[in-house]
Amino acid sequence: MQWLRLALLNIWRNGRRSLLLAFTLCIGNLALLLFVGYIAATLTGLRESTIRAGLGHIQIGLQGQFDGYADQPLQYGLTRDDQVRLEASLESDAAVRRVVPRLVFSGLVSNGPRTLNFQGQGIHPGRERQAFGAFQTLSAGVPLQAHDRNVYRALLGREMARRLGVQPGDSVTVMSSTVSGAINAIDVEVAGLIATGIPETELYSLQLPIEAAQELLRTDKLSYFAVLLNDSALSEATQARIGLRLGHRYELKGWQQLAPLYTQVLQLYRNQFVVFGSVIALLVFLSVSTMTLTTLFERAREIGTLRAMGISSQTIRRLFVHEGWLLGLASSLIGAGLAAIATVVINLLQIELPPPPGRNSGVILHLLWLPEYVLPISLTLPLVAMLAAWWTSRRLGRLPIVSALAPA
Amino acid sequence: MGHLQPPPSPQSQPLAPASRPQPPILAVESVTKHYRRGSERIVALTDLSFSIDAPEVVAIAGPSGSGKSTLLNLLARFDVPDSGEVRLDGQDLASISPAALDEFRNRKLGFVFQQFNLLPVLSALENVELALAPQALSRAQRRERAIAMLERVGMGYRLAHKPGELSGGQQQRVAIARALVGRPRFVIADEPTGNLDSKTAAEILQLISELNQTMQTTFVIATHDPRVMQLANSVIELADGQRIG
Ligand SMILES: Nc1ncnc2c1ncn2[C@@H]1O[C@H](COP(=O)(O)OP(=O)(O)OP(=O)(O)O)[C@@H](O)[C@H]1O
Ligand SMILES: [Mg+2]
Repeated sequence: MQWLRLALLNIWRNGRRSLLLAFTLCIGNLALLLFVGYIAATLTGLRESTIRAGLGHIQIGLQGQFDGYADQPLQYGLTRDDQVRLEASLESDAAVRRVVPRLVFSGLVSNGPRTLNFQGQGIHPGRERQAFGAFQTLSAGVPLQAHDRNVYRALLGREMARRLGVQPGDSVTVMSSTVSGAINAIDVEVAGLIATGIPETELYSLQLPIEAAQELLRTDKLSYFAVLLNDSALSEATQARIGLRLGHRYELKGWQQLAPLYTQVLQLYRNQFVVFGSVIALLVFLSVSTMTLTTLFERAREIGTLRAMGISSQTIRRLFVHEGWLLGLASSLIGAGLAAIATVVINLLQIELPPPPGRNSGVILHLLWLPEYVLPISLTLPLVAMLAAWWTSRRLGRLPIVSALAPA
Repeated sequence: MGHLQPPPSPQSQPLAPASRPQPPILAVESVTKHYRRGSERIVALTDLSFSIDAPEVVAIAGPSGSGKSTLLNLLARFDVPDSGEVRLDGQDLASISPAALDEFRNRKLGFVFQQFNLLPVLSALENVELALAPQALSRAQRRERAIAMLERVGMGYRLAHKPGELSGGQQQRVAIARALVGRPRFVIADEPTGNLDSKTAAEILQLISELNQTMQTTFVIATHDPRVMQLANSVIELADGQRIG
């Protein structure tokens, strides 16, 4: 206790030097916290937009559905029996918020003179909108309607429509092969244009009501169900639980498996953080080390006096360690406080950043404040400071007492 | 030579050490110490012997470079002699293991320095308490003893003052309290009056003389100050590392 007090007094005595070190530590922690707040916000945003843009947390199909290889369309589609069984089972699950049926197909879309290929989705407009509506933006036209008598309507990607030269209200022909291998075509009216901000999907996306898609493919099967959960954090656990319940006939894919980009971005950020964090930790280590060394020689006489009084070099070394972590903790906490204020201010300012890779619209700079990261990060630099003081003060044992005492 | 205790005579009671002849408080026997500066060999002490048998004030006198500080360093076991022996209360200092040195210095020795060497951030009281830190005492006990000692050196009215707020003489009084609070048998002082004006120096010497008598503490003082030599019970005079008086 008395050593702790002495350490505090020494920090105070070192005045400007302590202040300089505190500044380094404070800014270091501030930078780390803002960076992690940015990463967390970006990743959370990416996760939620990935999930809510239509992926869902879990997709459930027949075993083989997600391998990407089939001899004919809907070879691994869900039969009526499967559909009834799955829906009943999923909708009774408390963790499940929405269950959305999907039919995936591909083919050609044409307005007569021009023809493009597409990646199509048969959807249930009402259920799709309930689950994912908030995230779907149309650049023109109207969404597919839930209780529309006319099922021959389609949403086209914005870029696809531009290349075909069609507007909402125009008619296009959609061609695909049926489940038995024949070619089939239907005429549909363009209801609206999909704008996702992702160039690729704006070129290839085409959505039809499930009934129209099933008629085109001459089937009553579905490809899979997309499942939206109440809580993203429970995604993996829920997937495991439902998988067990449903048995081997079905295959479940989690959103992370369906969106490998997320994992790549996560890894990228993680690496960046490690590099950035190491640089700051090194900086703090060197600063504290330098200060300890300077202090050590400056206080040689004082240390010699304590040693002459029979106070062990370990005890004196503990004094330096105390000085390291005390100063570290105080400045780190100030840094954390500044980071908290900066987070609030930055979020209020609504600063717009240029579009991230794979996007064509800008995003608002947003920072997250996650206590589960703030606490350990804020404790890291004080720990580094303590280690630096401990490491550097090891010279103390070798300091001869005599030289400290000789009259100047 | 080198026996710590004389062999017991057949009649003596093993549990009554008082009946045995006491070893001297301090015995310096044929001590030689040299330093090496590059290839040059500097002799600091040559074949020095003396002993102190009662609690006295002993002055080590001699011109600059005569070996006074070297001798004190050997007494404090900051260093060991090249040859010869230093015994304190019968214990050969060379036999103290490095691990036991802290305990030895804390229990047996006190130090007073020319520049006082008080910790500037601590109050007078805290400076004195610090000397008791290695001992297993409660906070209250430490405080009580430190206050008593400060009162004894006439500094009871300046407990909360920092060294910077005290005069040189007052600082040296606090330093003497710090040296004596653990009740060592032995206080080593290198030029304790070197930084004081003559009136203050005389007062400090008066205090040392008093404490020597009331606390039975031996003071070994290296000095150029003739007043110290006047006051001392004995004077050991060095020149070029040899005893000349
Ligand atoms: N660490 C050392 N290395 C080399 N030579 C030393 C060392 N310490 C002392 N000496 C030499 O040993 C001799 C005795 O020095 P010492 O410091 O004991 O003298 P002193 O009597 O205390 O002098 P002063 O009155 O100036 O304090 C001197 O010649 C000195 O230069
Ligand atoms: Mg000297």
